[in-house]
Amino acid sequence: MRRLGGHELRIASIIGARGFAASVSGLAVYVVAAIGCLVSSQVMKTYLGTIRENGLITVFDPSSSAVSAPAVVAALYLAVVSSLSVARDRSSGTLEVLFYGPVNEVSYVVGKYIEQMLACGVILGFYAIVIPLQSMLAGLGSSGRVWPTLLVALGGASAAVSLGILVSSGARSARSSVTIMVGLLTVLLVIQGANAILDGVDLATLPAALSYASPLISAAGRVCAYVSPFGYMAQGMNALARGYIIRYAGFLAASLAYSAILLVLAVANIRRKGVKA
Amino acid sequence: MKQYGTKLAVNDLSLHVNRGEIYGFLGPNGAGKSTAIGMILGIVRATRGTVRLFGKSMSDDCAGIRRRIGVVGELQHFYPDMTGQEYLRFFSDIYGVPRGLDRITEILGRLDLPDARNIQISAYSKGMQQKLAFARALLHAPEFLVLDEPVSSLDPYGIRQVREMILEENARGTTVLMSSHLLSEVERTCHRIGIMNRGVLIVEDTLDNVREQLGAHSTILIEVDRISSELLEAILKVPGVDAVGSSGNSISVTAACKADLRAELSRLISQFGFTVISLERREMDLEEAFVSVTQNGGKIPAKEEAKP
Repeated sequence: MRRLGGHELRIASIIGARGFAASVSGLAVYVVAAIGCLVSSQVMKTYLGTIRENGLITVFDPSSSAVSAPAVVAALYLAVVSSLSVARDRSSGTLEVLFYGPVNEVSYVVGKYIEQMLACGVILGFYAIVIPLQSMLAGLGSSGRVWPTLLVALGGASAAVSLGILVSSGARSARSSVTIMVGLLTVLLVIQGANAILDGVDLATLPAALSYASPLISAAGRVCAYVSPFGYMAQGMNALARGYIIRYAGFLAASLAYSAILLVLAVANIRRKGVKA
Repeated sequence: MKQYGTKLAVNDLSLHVNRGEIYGFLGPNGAGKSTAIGMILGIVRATRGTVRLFGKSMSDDCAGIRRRIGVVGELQHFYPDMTGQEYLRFFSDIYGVPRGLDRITEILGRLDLPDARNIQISAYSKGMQQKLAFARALLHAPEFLVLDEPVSSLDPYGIRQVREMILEENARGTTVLMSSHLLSEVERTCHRIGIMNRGVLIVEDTLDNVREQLGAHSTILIEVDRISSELLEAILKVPGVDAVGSSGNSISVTAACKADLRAELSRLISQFGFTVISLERREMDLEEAFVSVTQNGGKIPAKEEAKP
C-alpha cells in the first residue's frame, strides 16, 4: 500500500470539504447534535433524581459521564452515514467521474474520512458547549474531564466512521451497505450491553441457561472490545474515569490505529471492486 | 484483454491514437468500446496487457496521466445539490487549475452556459448537463480528450457547438478519442476511425482507406436527355467502370472508390451527341462502411464480395 502523498492529501481535503459542506447544509447533523444533548439532559435528570431520593450520587464526574451516551449516538449516526458514502457514490456514478481525474483510492477514502470527521467535530462541538452548561445549570458542576472524554468520543467516532467506510467500499448498493452496517452495529452493541450487564451480576443468581451462556458472552465481549468502535470508546472512558492516563492514551491511540487499518482495507476493497456501478 | 467470467469483453485490442489526431472509435452496442475506454482511463483493470498514455504506463503514474486527460463519459453523473459553478470549482480545485474561476467563466461562455452557472444542476436539462460534463472535461486544458458519446443528448445547435469545440481543441493540439453512434459527426470530425465488434478491433485507418479495405465502390448517377445501348456499352468499356445500369433517362455507373470518372463520362456522352442534365458522384459513407463491417460477423469482406 502506497503512503499518503502531498497531492493525495490535498485532493482528499477537497473531497472532504465538499462532502462536509453538503453535510452541514442539511439538517441531519444538527438533529443528531440535538438528540445527543437531549440524551445527556436525560442522564443528568436521572442523576438529580438519584440525589433527590438518596441525597447522594456516586459518579466520578457527572458532566463527563453524561457525555458517553451522546457520544454513542454520534458514533452510531456517523457509522451509518459513512456506510452510505462509497456505495452511494459508486451507484450514482460520481465515484467514476472522480476517478477520471487525479483522484485515486487513497485520496478518495481519506477524503470520505475527513468529511465524516469534520461532521463529527460539529456534533462534538455542540456537546462540548451544551453538556457542561447543562451540568452547571443542574447544579452538578463541571470539570475539565469533559474535554478528554470528548477526545475519546472522537477516537470512537473515528473507528465507527472507518468501519462504515469499509462496509460501504465492499457493498453492492447503498441500501445493502446500510443494512449490513445496522446489523453489525446491533450485534456489537447487544454483545457489549449483555457483557456489561453480566459483569455486574452474580452468576449463581442467573438462570441455568444464562449462566452457561455467560462465558460465551464474556468471550465475545472481550473480542468486541477490540473489534467494535464502541469497545475503544467504552474502555477509553473507563480508563479516564479510573485515572489511568497511560491506558486512556493507549485506547485513544488504538482507536486511531484501528481506523487506519480499516481505511487501508477500504482502499484495497475499492481497488478490488472497481469504481464503476 | 478484458474478461468477465467466461465472457471476453475485449480481446487482443491494440489501439494507437496518434498525437494531435481525432480518432473515431466505433462499434455496435456491446462491442466492447466502453470497456476499452475504461481500460484506457484506468478505471477498468485489464485482465491482460498494458495501457500506455503519453509514453507512460498507467500503472506507473496513474494520477499524473489522468491530470492530462479530459473525459466525458457515456452517462452524466453530478452532485445535484451543487450549482454548475460550484461543481466546476470543485473539479478545478481537484485538477489544481490556476485562476479556476476565470477558466470556468471562459469555458461556460464558450459553451453558451453563462446564465446557468448559479442554477442547481438538478434543474439542468439533459443538454445542459452534457455541456457541463464537457466543461468539466476541458477545465484543465487536457492534452488528451476522451469523449464517449459526447453529443448524445444535444439538440442540433448543441451538436454544432460541441463539434466546433472539439475541432477548436484539436486545432490547439489536443488529441481526441471519440466514441459515437452519430456517424455523420464522426465523419465530419475524425481523422482516423477504428471499428470494434464483439471485443475485437476489426478496422483501424482513415475513412478513405477503410472504404478501400472494404472494396467499396463509388456510384455515378447521370441524367441525360436520351439513352442508347451503344452509349451504355461504351461507358462499360471505360477503364475503372465495373458496372452500368439504366432506368428511364438515368444511367448508374459503378466504379472503383478512388476513381473519379465524371469528366471522362461527360465527354463520352457529348461525343454521342447526347446532353448531360445532371451528374452526381456518391461515395460509400461511414454508415455503409460501419454496417458492412459489423454485419459481416466482424470480418472485413473480401473485395469480390463487396462488388455489386
